Amino acid sequence: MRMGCLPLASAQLGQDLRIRSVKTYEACHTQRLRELGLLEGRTVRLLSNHDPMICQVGECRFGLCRRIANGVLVEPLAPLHSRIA
Amino acid sequence: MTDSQAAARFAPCHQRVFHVAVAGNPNCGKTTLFNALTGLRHKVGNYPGVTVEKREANLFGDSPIRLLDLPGIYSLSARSPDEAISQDILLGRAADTPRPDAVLLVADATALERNLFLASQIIELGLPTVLACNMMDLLKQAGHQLDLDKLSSRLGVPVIPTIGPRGQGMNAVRESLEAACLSDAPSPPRRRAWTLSESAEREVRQIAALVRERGYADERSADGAALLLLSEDSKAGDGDPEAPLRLAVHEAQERLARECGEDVTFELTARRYAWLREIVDDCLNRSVEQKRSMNDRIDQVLTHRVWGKLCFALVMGALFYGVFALAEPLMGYIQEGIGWLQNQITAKVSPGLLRDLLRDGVVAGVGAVVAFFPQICILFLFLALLEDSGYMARAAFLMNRLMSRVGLHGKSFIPLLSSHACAIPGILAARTIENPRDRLTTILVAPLMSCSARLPVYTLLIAAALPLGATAKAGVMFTMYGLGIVTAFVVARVLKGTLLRGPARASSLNCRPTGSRTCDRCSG
Repeated sequence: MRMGCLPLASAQLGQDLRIRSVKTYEACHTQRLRELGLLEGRTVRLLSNHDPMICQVGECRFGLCRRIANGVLVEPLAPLHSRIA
Repeated sequence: MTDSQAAARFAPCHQRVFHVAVAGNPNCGKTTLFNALTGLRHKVGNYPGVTVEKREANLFGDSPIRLLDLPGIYSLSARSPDEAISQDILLGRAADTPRPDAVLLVADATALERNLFLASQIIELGLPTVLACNMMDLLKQAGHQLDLDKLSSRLGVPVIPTIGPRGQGMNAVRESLEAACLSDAPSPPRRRAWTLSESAEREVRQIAALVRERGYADERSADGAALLLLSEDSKAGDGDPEAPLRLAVHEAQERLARECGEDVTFELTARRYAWLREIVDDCLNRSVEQKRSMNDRIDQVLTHRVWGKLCFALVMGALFYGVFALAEPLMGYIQEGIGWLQNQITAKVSPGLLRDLLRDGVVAGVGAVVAFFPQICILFLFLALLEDSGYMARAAFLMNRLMSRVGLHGKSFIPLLSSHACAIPGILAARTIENPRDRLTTILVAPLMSCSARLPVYTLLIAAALPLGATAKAGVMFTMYGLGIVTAFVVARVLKGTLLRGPARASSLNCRPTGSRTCDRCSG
């Protein structure tokens, strides 16, 4: 795992996140997520982190179960100062 | 254009029926549009061998165009039966369905990029295509502006704005489809507007040549078909007539993986999305003000961990109360009517076998079933209201967690709920669940739910066995329902753990805004 990367399932709500890698347990799910727009390099925002989670990519919203969301690695777009506090 | 003018234009070739396939993402308002274009004179069936619904109907007016509703899908790469059927039909490979003369694409304008993913895959298959940009009212509400002319020229197909529930844009869609079907001279094959890496392009050309050679697809769709094949799992099953083609695709995928170190499916998806994003950025004038809409706030409550479940319990409680309270007087009338009929038979027919057969067999037997008609009607009315208001998608979303604990999908919720009216429509509704194992489990446990025909039995037994007050009786009744539900969940859990064990699966539920009247109907 790259530095600063974390699974989408443990990312902060409402923050803009860049998708670094999409690798789920099964290859067909990886491809499915990419086809839906959860693609490396895109910006995603978490709207709800229950199970299933809700996230937004561009104008589209998805419900995503946590197990799958754990296969999506993201990094925060802007470093959050509030985090240090 | 009036109907008679249209008929006159079609006069020379009036014997010919033009087939038009309607394709789009799930929940893009395709079914609403299909209904508006055809006026509910549908022929519904299954595609041979798979539980994928096939709906056909003629276009409104005196039109020789026959619309075929394809399943709602996100991609044309064949990974589920829905996608495989759609791809086969569009390539003219389906056993009993002719290749369409044209395609009507339906896209949700509020999620344009994702909708264009499928649209571009279909456009690349080279059939005359018309793109209906649906939900334009919601796009406007959000403050965005879409340049349809620019979108049309970028994609190379006519684009028509529509608002499905209001029937807006239907005449324009019809005229475009008629024009697309009637254009005799086939336009020259379009060049794909986006490119892959050099090595990938070389492989695509080779696969496309093989595709043409083997008659898998014609010249116009070869490039698009090759792209689809490359993005699929290329393992051929036993007896696959296209085994040599699959093998060639598999080799190409391996070569590319060695060369680039990256899965070719990733490159295909990423390049296509990069191109689409550029188009959407070019055509869509986004409102700067990202207003938190009323929908967002409603959504926050409806999908909340605590409030959402409370709302859900309230809605379900109101639904059951409504079903029983509203249906009771109607059931009373029906039972009175049956009693009257029985009295008439007693009075008019002389005693004997025939009278007993008519009175106690036919009338009493059929009557016992007919008496539940009001309950079933009212339940279905409520279900339709919940779906059209968009609440059903939220409910499925809320239920997904619970359902996935017992190994079911959020979508199993609707069949299981419908089974409370009658297990048969409940089982019918299970067809919307994509995973065959989930579908079978749902079908197997649906009859464990207390259907309305068991209600009089419960009532009778409770009244006979328990001398309690009305509240306690209602409590016992509630427990009976609860028992059915718990049993169903336990059985589902056991089935998923033993006979129907399968690998973990993805679930992605797609939420449309609440209050949009364009939810695709997913119950049977």
